[in-house]
Amino acid sequence: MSDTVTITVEFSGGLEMLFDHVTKHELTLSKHAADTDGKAPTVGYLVKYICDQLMKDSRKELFVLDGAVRPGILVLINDSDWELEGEHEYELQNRDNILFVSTLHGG
Amino acid sequence: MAPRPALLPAPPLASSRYNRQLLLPQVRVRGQEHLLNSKVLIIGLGGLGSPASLYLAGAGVGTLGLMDGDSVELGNLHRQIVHTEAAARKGLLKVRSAAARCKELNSEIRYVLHEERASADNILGIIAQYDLVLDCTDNPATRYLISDACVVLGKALVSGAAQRGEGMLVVLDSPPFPRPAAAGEGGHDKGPCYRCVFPRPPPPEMVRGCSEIGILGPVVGVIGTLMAGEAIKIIVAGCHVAVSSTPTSSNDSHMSSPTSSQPDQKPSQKQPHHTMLLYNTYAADPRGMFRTVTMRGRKKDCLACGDDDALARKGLSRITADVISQGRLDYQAFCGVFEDVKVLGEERRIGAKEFLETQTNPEHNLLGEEFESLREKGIVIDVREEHEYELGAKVAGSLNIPLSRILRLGGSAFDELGLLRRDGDKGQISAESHTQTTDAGDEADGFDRGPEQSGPANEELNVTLQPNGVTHQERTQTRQSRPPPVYFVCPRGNDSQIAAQKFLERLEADGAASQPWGWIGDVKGGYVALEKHSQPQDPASGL
Repeated sequence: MSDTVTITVEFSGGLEMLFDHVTKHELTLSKHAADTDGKAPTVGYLVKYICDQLMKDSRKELFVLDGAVRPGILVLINDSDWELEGEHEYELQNRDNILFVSTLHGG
Repeated sequence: MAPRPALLPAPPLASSRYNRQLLLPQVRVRGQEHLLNSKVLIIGLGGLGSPASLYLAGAGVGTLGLMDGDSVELGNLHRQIVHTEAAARKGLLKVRSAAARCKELNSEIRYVLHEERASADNILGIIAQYDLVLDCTDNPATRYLISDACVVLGKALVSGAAQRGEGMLVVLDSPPFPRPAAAGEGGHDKGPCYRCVFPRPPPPEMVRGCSEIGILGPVVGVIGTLMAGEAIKIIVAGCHVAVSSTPTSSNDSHMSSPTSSQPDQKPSQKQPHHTMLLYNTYAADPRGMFRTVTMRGRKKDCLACGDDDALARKGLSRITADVISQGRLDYQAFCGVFEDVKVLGEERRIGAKEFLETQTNPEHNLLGEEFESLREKGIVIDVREEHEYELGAKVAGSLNIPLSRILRLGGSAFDELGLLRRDGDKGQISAESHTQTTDAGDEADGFDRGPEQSGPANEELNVTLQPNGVTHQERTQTRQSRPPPVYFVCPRGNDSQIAAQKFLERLEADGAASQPWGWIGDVKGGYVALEKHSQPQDPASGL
């Protein structure tokens, strides 16, 4: 059993602006971080990790609002709406793809 | 008794203009009849509505309703391909321009023009006249309004959106009526509505128009085209109307959400997959340009399409036709209005007119008192993003430090102000580059005056900006009075306040003793106000 989980995180719909215009990020997360307890980190942990570690832009509220992913952002776990996968609780597996996409509204 | 002819004639439709599309086994004559009997409403005749209207007209929907309150402008034409230069010159209403063009394509169908914006007052009455709606609008408030109206009236909604290089497509509230259980299968529940997918709107600062953030024509064109395709699929299958009013056939019963992923392959599945298509022309991995993602289904406690008991349990009341038409739901307020930032106190803000005056000191220049003039001019930091800065009018001699950079790097984004002192480093200085984008001819005073104005300005800045490298004696010699002011400027006077605040925080962190700057603040109203006061010769055409 590996002690880490390696995943791909993508941002689109304008969210990439908050991440220096980089849309695709490879992340390796430890299973022994503060609150993972030797288990696979969850998507909830990932959101916090992104906010604290990955995101250099100070406009945190454009990604997370009141401790949750802000309205208008869809979270897709391996191309499936995270509501179908257990939302925050979903435990990340190796090679998972997590896509955060901000609503488009233009026409 | 005449002999029976050996050869029976083909049905007239078969040899009609629609021959090529009804050759598809999914369409056939009956599908074409559905199309010819259908009434489709397109709301928004912009980048999405352009191809959607053309393809639906061509496909022969019986009645094509077009709804929009805007007029055609030249800046629309790179993507809104239903319109023409002639229409833009005349400032024709988009619905008229689109109808004229569609008629050239197919004069045999009926066109109904609604020359108005979608609003709570008109939306129910108009949608009620149609079977299916295409949401081709450009803002969240209208999208919620249209979705709610479609749910209330039981209409399927094809929803598309696009901005920059990306687009999305989703079929909502489909089928609009619960499908009865077919043999060996559970009935299909209704699909999600816009509120199920997006229960809360994005923050207004994330909602910027195509005229601000840009859009590629083919991107919005692809999505508009796909919307027409989805509409045709729904209508041909007869999924746009209640089952009782269409002849039932085994063909109808397995049609689920039109974007569902091949329901035939998973016959055991009771609920169809609801999907959303994402398109990104600049996808990091080109294999991911098109992505079809699985979406949540209808929310039982959705305010628009939820179940009565689930709503009652939560003490929520449903959005009804009355709620919409009586204006009891303020869609604009729900989606929020972009409020002007209030970070800086009034004493740190300068009006556009006064600012322009500080930048225009002809008497000083005439006298050759450059130092004096520059002390007034100070340093102008433009916080627009690099590509926006490149395209826009600029203050002569301004320095571009994009807000995203300031927010990412914090105070150290201002390090380059120190570099200005050293010669040769003018990388961010606009002096040379901005003249290229300037229109020839008279420029308003103090506004984008070209290099002859900004050249000496930069030299002067090099001397005075960073006193740390200048001896005390030199400083007292060159400018015994005030240190130079710092003006932050942006499109509307919002980002500039945030940037100025970051700069002030940086200075505070550095310690007030080394304060080398004079007044620090921003230009109220940004370029919108500056352009108003500088009376440009040729105002940029609105998009």
